Amino acid sequence: MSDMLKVVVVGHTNTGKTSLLRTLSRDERFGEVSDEPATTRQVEGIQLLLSDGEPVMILLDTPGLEDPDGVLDALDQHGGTERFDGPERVRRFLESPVAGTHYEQEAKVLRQMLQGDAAIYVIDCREPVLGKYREELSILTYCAIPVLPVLNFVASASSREAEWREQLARLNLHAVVAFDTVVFDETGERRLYEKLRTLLDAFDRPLQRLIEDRQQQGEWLRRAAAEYLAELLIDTAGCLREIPADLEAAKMRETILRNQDAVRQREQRSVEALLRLFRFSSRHYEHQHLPLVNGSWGLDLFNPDALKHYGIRMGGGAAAGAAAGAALDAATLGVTLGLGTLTGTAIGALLGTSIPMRQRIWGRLHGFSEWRVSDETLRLLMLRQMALIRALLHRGHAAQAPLAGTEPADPRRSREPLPAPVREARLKPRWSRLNAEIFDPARGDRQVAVQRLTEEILVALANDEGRH
Amino acid sequence: MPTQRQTADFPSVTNPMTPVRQRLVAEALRLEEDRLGRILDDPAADARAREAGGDFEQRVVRRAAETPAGRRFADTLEALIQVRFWLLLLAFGLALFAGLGAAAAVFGQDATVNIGWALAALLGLQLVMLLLWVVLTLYRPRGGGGALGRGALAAVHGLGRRLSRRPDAAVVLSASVAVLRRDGLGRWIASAITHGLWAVFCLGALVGSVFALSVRQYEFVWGTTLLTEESFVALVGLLGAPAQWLGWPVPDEHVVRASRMGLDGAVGRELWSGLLLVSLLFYGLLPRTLLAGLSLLLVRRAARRLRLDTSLPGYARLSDRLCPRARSIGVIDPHPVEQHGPDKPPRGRPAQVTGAVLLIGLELERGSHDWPPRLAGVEWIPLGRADDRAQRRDVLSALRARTEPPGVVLVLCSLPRTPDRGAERFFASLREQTRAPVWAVLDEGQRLAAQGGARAARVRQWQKAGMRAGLDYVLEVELDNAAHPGTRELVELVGQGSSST
Repeated sequence: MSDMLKVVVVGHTNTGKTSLLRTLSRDERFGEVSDEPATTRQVEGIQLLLSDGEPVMILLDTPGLEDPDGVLDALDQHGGTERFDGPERVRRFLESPVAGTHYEQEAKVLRQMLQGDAAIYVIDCREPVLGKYREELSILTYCAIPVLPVLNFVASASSREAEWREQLARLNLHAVVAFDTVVFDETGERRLYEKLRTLLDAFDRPLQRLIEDRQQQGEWLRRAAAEYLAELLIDTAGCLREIPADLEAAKMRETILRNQDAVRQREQRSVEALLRLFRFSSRHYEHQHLPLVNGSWGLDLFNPDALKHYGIRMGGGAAAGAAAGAALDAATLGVTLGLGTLTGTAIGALLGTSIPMRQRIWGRLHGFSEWRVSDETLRLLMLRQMALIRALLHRGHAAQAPLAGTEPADPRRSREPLPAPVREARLKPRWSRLNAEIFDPARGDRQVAVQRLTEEILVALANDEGRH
Repeated sequence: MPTQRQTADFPSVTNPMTPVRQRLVAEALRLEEDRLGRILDDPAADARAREAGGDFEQRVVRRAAETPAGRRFADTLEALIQVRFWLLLLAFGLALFAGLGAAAAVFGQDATVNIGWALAALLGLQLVMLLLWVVLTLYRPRGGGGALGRGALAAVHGLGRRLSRRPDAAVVLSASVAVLRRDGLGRWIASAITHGLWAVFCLGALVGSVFALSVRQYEFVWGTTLLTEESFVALVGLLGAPAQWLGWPVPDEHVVRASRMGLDGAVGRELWSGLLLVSLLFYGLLPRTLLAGLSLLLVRRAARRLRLDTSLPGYARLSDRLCPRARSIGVIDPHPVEQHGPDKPPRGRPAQVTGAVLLIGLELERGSHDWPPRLAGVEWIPLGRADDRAQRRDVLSALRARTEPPGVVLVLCSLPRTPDRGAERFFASLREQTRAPVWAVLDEGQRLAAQGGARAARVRQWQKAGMRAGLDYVLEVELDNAAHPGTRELVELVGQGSSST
């Protein structure tokens, strides 16, 4: 335990020390976070673990520094004469009575600093470089351990990153990391560990392993997210329901709504799985009234406006449906209905090879029409889930704001054809979990399609990363 | 090794605790979750897997073993292995009888035995199959190996599916096929079964032959229409080489020539029967037994090395549950006992101020060109800014140096700042330096709002801090916005213009 790397996270009050620990540990329940001064009044620790469970590093969350001015006075008063070096002066200060009363918070921090191997100084870089911050840094340097300033809230519009970097350089602190605890960035995390590595020769090996391990875990996370999306798309693309063609209008509408509900629920399941995967509890979101949890996610999947929002032009499906004379209202424009009805002769060809010919003919003879999810809806589903995955990949575990998942997608992409495995799944009702009676999970070709689609999604995600 | 059961095939795989079986269960669970389309939630199993430690793959295996579904699959696997055990026993029994039958067919009621025919019947087919196996193993290492064994395996699984009435059997069997396909495990199991079956066949043939040759007397002859006599002599020499090398008597050239069909006189009965048995032993039983043993060794090695393919869909999503990124080590230095006294009761709106208005800037965003700020109707005397230690000292001494007491001391604070004890202490020192009322004037709220901060909450925090420090009044203003109610209030309270009207 004693030879494990121990890093003390320090900073002025309300700069996001606990948030940094939450984000680095991917644990949104660690400590207590609020926009109040002195939320953390105790020293609490966390061990960062490798995948095999081996701990590599201890991070200590400390109370905020609040009165550096006073501490400097106390150091002058109690720290003895100039003959003593920094750590000795700090030790003398810690033994003085004020360390237990007025400067109790600061004393907690300095006590840990004396025992730690390095310190991370968290900076709210929306703040100007005030005198008190410089004073804090000079107190910290008395402890004679490397100090790594971490610029929090760099993603904010009012960030003063450049100003801070310049001022820190003047204080002889040249290793600085920008790492936003709310807007998570995998490379930022990696840089943070790398900077620590350059400061801490003795812990080169564990930090190296930590970096490699985090990268591996990041890959697993992206892969798992892509798998969830691939499964969702394959299931939805293959969804096929038979509806008796001679159903009266009200009944028909009801049936369609039920089918739409099934698709929505499938999306909902996928969203929940993704939240769980990224360790964001829906508990937090219920509180924030995120529409996700309650079944419909912001824009309704089948709402024509939602389609417009994502820049998807209504394709031929609706027109074809209208041509077939199927009585559809606006709510069902998102789906292609009426293909292969007994009367809809012209459109039968559109159906392609969706189900075996024998079955189709049988269906026709018995007056069934087929209900499937339209291409537009599928595309919308894909864009929306991609946006969600992207948002989750960049969400720090300190984020308090509700998850906004509906950024308008790249309009160019919405005109691209659906990925090949999805198009293939259109023709394979047996691949879809939504077709409970004929779903066949053991099919090897389904697994291959899911794997291929997963790879495609991973590539798309990597391209996004490259663009940002 | 715990409780090793003596089954006819690979004991290490049927052992209940083997890694292979655990991985089979894990794979079955993955397939089941894939079928259901969701992860089976079992926090207890996840926790036990985390406690058990090891790398990700080992944790996946452990989790599978701990879930109820995993235990069900393990039971099913046990049952299937029982079925397979009896089926394999049956197969080996049949192989033994086939060997005995082959011997019986060769040594029939006829007192004359054609040597060539007998060798072909007892050794020919299995030598051809052995050759095939060698070729397949060497040239098609992935698909090849033990066609017979693989067929047997498939048949066993097919039968298992029918014989076992458990609903999980299909999943477990699919999982076995998937796992056995990896890393040559299935190939070597198939090879072991193939060679084992042929070894038993040869054993049967040997026993049958020994029995027949013991209790009956046979004349050994040979004949050929197409081939020369020399080739038969050479063949016999080749077959007899191992026996000869071991010092066993084998038919020499003279005996071979003398035994040709049609020639009278039965020579070398013992020699011929010896050659037959030794050939069965050396070209049948021994190589097959050795190869079966070798295959078993390779099975064990493959079983030891077997790892799940964690890149398969469904495993990655477990990584987060099973490999936590961090572990809390709890509170090291606990929360202090609250010791500050009760907050002083908030004061109401003060009366209008007469006298000089002093202004101090505390950690403001505004630049020095913007200092002191202007506010129409208010004349204030700037005392300076108090951003660092030296400035605070200067401000305090400037305040002390004033001979006539001011009407009010205004500390202009910035709302984007979080109030801290440093600010509180500064307020308190101001209170000590003057008898005049000290007010905190909170400005720059727009900037806080632009950052997305909660303005009202921050004002409350400043009010609390002000009360603790004994300030007389805390009010929020927007100096740039004369219409702001707080600004108007400030002008009314301290404005020189308002007092005259």
